[in-house]
Amino acid sequence: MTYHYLLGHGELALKGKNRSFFEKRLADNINRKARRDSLPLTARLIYGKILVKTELEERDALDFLKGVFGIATIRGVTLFPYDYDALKDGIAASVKGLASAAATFRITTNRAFKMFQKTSMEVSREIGGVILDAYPTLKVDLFNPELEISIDIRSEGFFVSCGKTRGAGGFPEGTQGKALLLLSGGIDSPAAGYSAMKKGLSVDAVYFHTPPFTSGAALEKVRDLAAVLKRHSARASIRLFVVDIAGLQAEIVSKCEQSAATILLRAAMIRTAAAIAKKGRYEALVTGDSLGQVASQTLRSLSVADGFSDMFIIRPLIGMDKSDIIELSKKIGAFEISCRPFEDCCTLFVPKHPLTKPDPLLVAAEFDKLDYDSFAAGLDSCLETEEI
Amino acid sequence: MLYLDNAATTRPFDEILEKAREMAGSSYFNPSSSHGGGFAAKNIIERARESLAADLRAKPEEVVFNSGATEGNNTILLGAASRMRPGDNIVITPVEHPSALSCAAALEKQGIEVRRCPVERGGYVEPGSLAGVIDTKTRLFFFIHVNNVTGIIQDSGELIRKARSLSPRIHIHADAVQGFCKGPCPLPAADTLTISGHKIHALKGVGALVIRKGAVARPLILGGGQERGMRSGTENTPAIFSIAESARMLVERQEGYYALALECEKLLDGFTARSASFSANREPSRAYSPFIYSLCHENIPGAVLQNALSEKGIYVSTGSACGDKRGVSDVLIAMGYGQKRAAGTVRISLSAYNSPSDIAELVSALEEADASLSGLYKKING
Repeated sequence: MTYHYLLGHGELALKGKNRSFFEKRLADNINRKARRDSLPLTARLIYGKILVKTELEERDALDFLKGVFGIATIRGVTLFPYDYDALKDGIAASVKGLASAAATFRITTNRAFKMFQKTSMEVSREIGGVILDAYPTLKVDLFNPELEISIDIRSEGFFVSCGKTRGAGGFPEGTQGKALLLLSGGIDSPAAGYSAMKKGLSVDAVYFHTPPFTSGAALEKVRDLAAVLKRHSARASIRLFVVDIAGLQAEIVSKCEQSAATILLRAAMIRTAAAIAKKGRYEALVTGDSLGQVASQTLRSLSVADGFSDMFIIRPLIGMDKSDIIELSKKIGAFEISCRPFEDCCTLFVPKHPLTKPDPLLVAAEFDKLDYDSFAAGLDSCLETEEI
Repeated sequence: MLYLDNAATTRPFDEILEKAREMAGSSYFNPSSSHGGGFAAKNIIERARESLAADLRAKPEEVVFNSGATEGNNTILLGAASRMRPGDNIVITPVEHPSALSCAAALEKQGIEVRRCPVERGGYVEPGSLAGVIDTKTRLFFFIHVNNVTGIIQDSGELIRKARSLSPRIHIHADAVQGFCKGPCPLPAADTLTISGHKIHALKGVGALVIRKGAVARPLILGGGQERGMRSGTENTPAIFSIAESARMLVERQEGYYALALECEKLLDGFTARSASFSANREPSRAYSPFIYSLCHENIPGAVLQNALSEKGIYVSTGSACGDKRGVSDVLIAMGYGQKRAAGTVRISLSAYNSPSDIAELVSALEEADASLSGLYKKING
């Protein structure tokens, strides 16, 4: 059986002249993701709305559509051909399940196709009568109805729908450009990546691997987290840059002030990620920082580390509490993976007393003790690129 | 690749794999079926039972095939708990495998008294010390014969004698997984024993619970009444064949590969004795299985050593494969080795496939890791 859905796209309506670009991208993303996941579902644009046609059962279709960024609302619709009498004959049966469960209703008509001879008000009134005849116990309530039956009049015909489901919101993936996520095995960074994708960024990831200080299992975990992000994305694959930074980490430990070890490692990661991002034409870095969460996430620490690159850094979780981040992580299906007990590079060399208010000059001086330039020059040899 | 993690699992013998594969296709019949195919499958299982029973020095009717020692240990602990009366207790050692410790913790949550017997440094249970924990209300004494983390061997004969003298009707269970087919050390004369196939070069998902005549045990899984009601579920014919066959092969070859394991142990003893930074988690006056060797670096974490060896294609584990994903074994702590020692530990475990040249390769890799990483960790630990 074929089902139809009409999608509303919330914030896209704000986009003025760019709107059609956003709409087209959204329809493309839906089609691409459905194809990738081998689902019988297609989307096409009709007059500022997106019409989805699918063979999927309602639950599966809603699950899929709720996972596509840029969709604000989802309405299941019944399509009637452009024949007013056929609408009057069929509409009562098409809303049967919901109509028999509700006590009050209203009809909302939207006449997008202005050639239709009756006004919205007339249609609402006439169809309301039809519904009342079919379900005598129903009463009209224009202000607080239990059931709202919407009729969209379009050149293709009449689209009848009851109620709507909220979508993921945000913008279609890719409409805001592309960014590189610093992905660790923790709880925060996948949540940050998801948030960035939701706001329309196309996100790839970089992971800093430190063998033998961290295990292959830690890398596996990061691959699995990248796969979670890919599942939410509409893209065929997500690129994961794996950088072996163990040599630099050992250098930090052996040459530098212990209390600065964490911020130095962070500085090196940001500088390296920025270099990879520039080469790959990414327009920003994304991190999972949340202000004040740990010593390296104080305002001072963040700003000092930021000084090590001129790349714009987005921190979608900056104002979120840990409990909210955990909730988001659970929602996107990353939490259980993040909780696998494999150490990441940040947890291994944690100094006993890390700096919380690092002096930018001191950090710069300590950083200068490192032979970062030769690491950067040889970056290609410790960088592996995977498609997840 | 050099595989030295045989206490976690072993590589199945090639000849067994081959026969089991063939059997999975040809003897797929349900052993409970009343037709020629069923009879043939049943026959394979009964022959396997006779063969394994002989190697376990048990009677065939005392052998119950199951999925492995985790199931066997659960059957005994949960079964004993279900027969307990108010005031009764269970005694286990604090150095058990997680399959026993998790059950014990779950039983305690249900309000059942589980006592841990005291252990000396290294995990040895001094038989005399049982007097302080076992009394006439003790229904079950549960101990691990050869420890899976360090290989220490308990004096099972004395433990059993002592336990029986303290509580004549006590049920005694031994987790015999790491001792069975690993040298001439006799199996404990306990009321029940558990073993696992995949620790002795058989397939995974098969094991046996030995219930000596007169001992009481309750099934954990109910259903079609297979294994004389002790373990329902359609029997896995090729896997059951594999455990009996690998035990038979190992018992036959025992002397040869046991001698090799002793040689390996001697090499590791020599290495830990002369190394300035590695030392063995072994106590001088105690007996150990030569198949399990736990050693510790003074400052490099065991997990890091494991990774460094893994990069070279040498596979070892930290404390054990089960239960300590953070790289620190609770059992080592319970043995009195302290957090630092436990964190620096790797476990080398051998099988019939290993030889002294493997140990030479391991030792040079360990020395290399020591040379490249020790200075770094010295600085970190300050």
